Amino acid sequence: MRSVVVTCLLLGCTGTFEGGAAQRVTGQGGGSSGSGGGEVDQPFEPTKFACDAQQTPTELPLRRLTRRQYVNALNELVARSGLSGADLTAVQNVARDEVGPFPEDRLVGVPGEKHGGFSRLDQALQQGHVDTSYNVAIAIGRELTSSVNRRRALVGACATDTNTANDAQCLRDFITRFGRLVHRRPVTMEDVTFYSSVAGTTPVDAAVLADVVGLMLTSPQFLYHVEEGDPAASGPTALDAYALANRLSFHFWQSMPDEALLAAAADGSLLTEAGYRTQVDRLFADPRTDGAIDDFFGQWWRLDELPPLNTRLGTTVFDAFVDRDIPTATLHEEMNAEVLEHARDVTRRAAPVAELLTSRRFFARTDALARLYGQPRWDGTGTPPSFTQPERHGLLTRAAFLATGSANTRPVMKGYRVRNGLLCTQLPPPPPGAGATPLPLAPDLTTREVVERITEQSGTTCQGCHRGLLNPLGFVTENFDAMGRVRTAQRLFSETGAVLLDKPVSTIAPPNVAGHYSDIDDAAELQELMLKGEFQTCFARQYFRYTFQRMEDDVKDACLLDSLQQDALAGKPVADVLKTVALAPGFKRRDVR
Amino acid sequence: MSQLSRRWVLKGLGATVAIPALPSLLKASDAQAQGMVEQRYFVNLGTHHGAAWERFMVPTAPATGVTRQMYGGREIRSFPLTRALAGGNASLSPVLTAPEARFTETLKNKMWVARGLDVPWYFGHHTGGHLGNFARNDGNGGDGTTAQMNAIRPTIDQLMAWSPSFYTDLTGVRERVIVLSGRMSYAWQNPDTRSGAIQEITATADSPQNLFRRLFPSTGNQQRAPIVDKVLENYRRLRTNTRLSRADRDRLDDHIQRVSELQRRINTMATCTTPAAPPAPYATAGAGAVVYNAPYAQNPVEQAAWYRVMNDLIVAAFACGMSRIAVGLINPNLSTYAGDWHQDVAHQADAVDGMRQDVLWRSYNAFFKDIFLDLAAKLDGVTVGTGKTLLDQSMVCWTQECGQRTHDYRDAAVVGFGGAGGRLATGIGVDYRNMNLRFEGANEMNIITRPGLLWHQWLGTVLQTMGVPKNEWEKPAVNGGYPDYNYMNVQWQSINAATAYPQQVWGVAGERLPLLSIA
Repeated sequence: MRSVVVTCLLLGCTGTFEGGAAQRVTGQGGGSSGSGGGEVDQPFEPTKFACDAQQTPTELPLRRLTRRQYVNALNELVARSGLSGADLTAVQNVARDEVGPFPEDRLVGVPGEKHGGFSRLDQALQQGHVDTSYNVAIAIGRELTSSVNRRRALVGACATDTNTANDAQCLRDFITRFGRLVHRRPVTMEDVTFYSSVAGTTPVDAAVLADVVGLMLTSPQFLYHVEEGDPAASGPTALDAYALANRLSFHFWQSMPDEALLAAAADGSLLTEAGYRTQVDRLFADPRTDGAIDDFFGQWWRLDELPPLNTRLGTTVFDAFVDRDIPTATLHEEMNAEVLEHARDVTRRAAPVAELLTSRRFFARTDALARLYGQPRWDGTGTPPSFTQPERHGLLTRAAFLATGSANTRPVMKGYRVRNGLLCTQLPPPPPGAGATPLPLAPDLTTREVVERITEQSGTTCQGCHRGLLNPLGFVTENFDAMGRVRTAQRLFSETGAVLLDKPVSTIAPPNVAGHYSDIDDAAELQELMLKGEFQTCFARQYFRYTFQRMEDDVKDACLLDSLQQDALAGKPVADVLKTVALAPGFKRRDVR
Repeated sequence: MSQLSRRWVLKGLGATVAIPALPSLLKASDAQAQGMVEQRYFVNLGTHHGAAWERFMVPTAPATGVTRQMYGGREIRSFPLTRALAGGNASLSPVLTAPEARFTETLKNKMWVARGLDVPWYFGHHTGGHLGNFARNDGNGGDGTTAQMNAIRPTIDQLMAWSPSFYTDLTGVRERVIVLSGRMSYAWQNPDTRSGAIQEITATADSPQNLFRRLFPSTGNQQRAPIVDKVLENYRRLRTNTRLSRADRDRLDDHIQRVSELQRRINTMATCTTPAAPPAPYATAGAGAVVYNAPYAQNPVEQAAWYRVMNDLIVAAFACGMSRIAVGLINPNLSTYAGDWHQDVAHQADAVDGMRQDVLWRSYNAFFKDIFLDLAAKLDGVTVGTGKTLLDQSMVCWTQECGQRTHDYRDAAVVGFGGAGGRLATGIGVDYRNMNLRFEGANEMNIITRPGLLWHQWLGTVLQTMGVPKNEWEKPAVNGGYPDYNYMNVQWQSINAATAYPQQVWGVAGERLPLLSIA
């Protein structure tokens, strides 16, 4: 006997899943489980967002920079400080060391859901944000000004010459110049006066300059997205050119604007339709946007949930299971990197949203990962090859979506990721005691059979969701093992690692996606159903969240959601859809009422 | 005479992980001796999962010598703790076992174990319950979801930290709370004004080095006054901007409050000489090196060494008056188990073969003997005047995610050290369960669960013991104790909530727990 714990994950789904099964005895694995539910396929229309231009969304107040944005902006600022060579390296090292305790952002998702979310949505302010940014500012201030050469590079020759008569103006000029970078907009005369006020009688003394730099690096204009508006206006206020430049830059690059963008803000071209479009296209095309692409797709697709795959090495069953494909400590990272490279590829070659699911291009860069795919690794040059294994239909069959770190697949969690993560279906929580009572199970059951016995028993609170919504979406990829290797049968082991038998697996399941209740038998069919609208709608929701750092409101945010969804449904390139957000009116204004 | 005894510096530590210059703290702590004897200190370390069966977890009451008292509609009991000595170990239970030389009679006499403390609804997968934010759970079951929506509250460590009754004088206090991990401690966005959303406090001390830096910051070459005053002024300057929204200004207020706290910390006088920092990364007594935020999972030896350095720093912080509160979750459980702990061990804790239970309780024993006892011993090595030690002035608690069944916060046990300045009875075990009721028949492992008193009462007891008056946190119109969340639902069990937790139980929830508490 073996005991396998499969959490009864969800409670409260309703539906009729008893009665005659719409079985389809095709495909590999010896036939259907009979889990089809007798539901009749229905016509399907994706969610419609009713755009009402009069609706005003509730916006976030004064957003702080995320950790990534803060670190990037800090590094960019240091790089543009005027220092070079060893001096620059020294300051960069100090920045790297001091920024360590700056709090990590948590993934924040749909309230009540324990998986998913984006770190950008974490707007909690911790004491650690204030303390660390203060320490960083002090340390960088000291380091930037710690030698004559550095002060000359940072402030100018006036800071190190023998003429003291120009010192006060020297400091003011420095504040004006450096402050433009720190505030990410021209500083005001009041700002200059304020920052100068720490100087006293020795305005270009090293300690004074260090304090000035420190004061600027702790400023709200550096640590927050300060966006002004008109509280007395009847509606949202258009952002000024610099605020708009900052939004664009931090959205796509997760860092401060470059000189070209600041120049476009300064000369007003950013506020023209053509000028703005030029900058959106330029920023998006820049490789710095790749970081945001990785961030968005990596968090949307929950890649961080893939654990290290080597932790069970040394246990008999796992060792027997992996056989010669011994996972390294970094294999899970290689799997995730492959998925992200796929996402960048689809985005950068202007492929439609559908290809996020269906592209069969292959990006494994290491031998260890490529071996799991059954083909040689890609060296990164030229056009990526396609999968050679016909079972690899796209995203759901990439290793990162299949591997578990154990000898068993996790159909429930695979199904949950598809249903909740990729289709944005909110599901009720698990019932009390879910997973708490292990059931003794026979050793000759496949993982699918175990899951069915535990979660699909008639009369339990588990079966509604599991049978109707979750398990089938995981079962359709049961022709891959827990390392992501293609299989037609599940190899079952004894507790000593001896092979008991190879038992055929079944991928046949009724998906309940896009009104389709009849059995399907592989990931290709599932992906096709997902692309009838639910996937594109989910894409629209997720990108909205990522962009605006908050949950969407289906009524108040309907215009933008509708625009994103329609672009995605129309088969527009991913790149265009991503840029749609930045081009939308809601991106360029703020409500401060 | 107060002193930081050199004994605790060396006891239980590899020489390489002790703080090299702690003797330099001795005179400094002497200077505080008179004040410290009046202070109280709170530590709460939590472990994930719980679910250790009573036969492994808690001491058994002896046949004689049990004190009985009627309370809350049931008989409650206390009994003296007695060490069983065998094979060089001293033991109160399998979990509460350590080498006799370290688990001394003295320490045992400063220890207490309370059981029979309940959350009266389904409550699993949480980290917030330890200190009173029931909302920090994974939403399992309708009860978990209900708590997520309705039970978000500041945790008791933060209530203490911002209470003028607890910190009557903030001189020298650099860390109101030492927070060793995330997802345990929660506070208002602006804890000073008790306003804004309630949010998680992420770890302020996630490594020995970071904690050291917060306690003993480098002052550098102080040619000039700190700029923190000007930083505050800068934020106040922006706050006058009329082109910001009211909500923007509220956010600025939150930031200003934190800068004010930073300003207070910078300006407070350090009372100890700065010792040498822990090397980074420090080598353990064995081979290899520990990297902070460490890959010490499945390596309980290195993990325990890491936490013992934290213990050093916590004791140093307390001894020097730099903090009086430390909380954190021990993560992961101390074990060499390499698989999916949550699914394969914790969820299987009741498996009839007992194999997973064995892995589970041994991990708790490792925590007790290698970390928790170490902290208690170090606190007991610091005298604070009139023969008292820091431990005598402290309430050092070990709480768990569940009682003796997984996903079940009934019959939770708290293991503790310290008398909280004479406010807690020590050397005893206390049992608050109603022995006339049982939730269900014994399962195949003979585990019986009986209703206890409320976790609310426990949390309220902690606050009162630490001197935080009820008017700062209790809402008696809702319920006694803490927090004000009187949801009940045990319909998933064999007796209903009203029977298990009648008004008699809720009615005493605002009182300090009897037998353990000293008036």
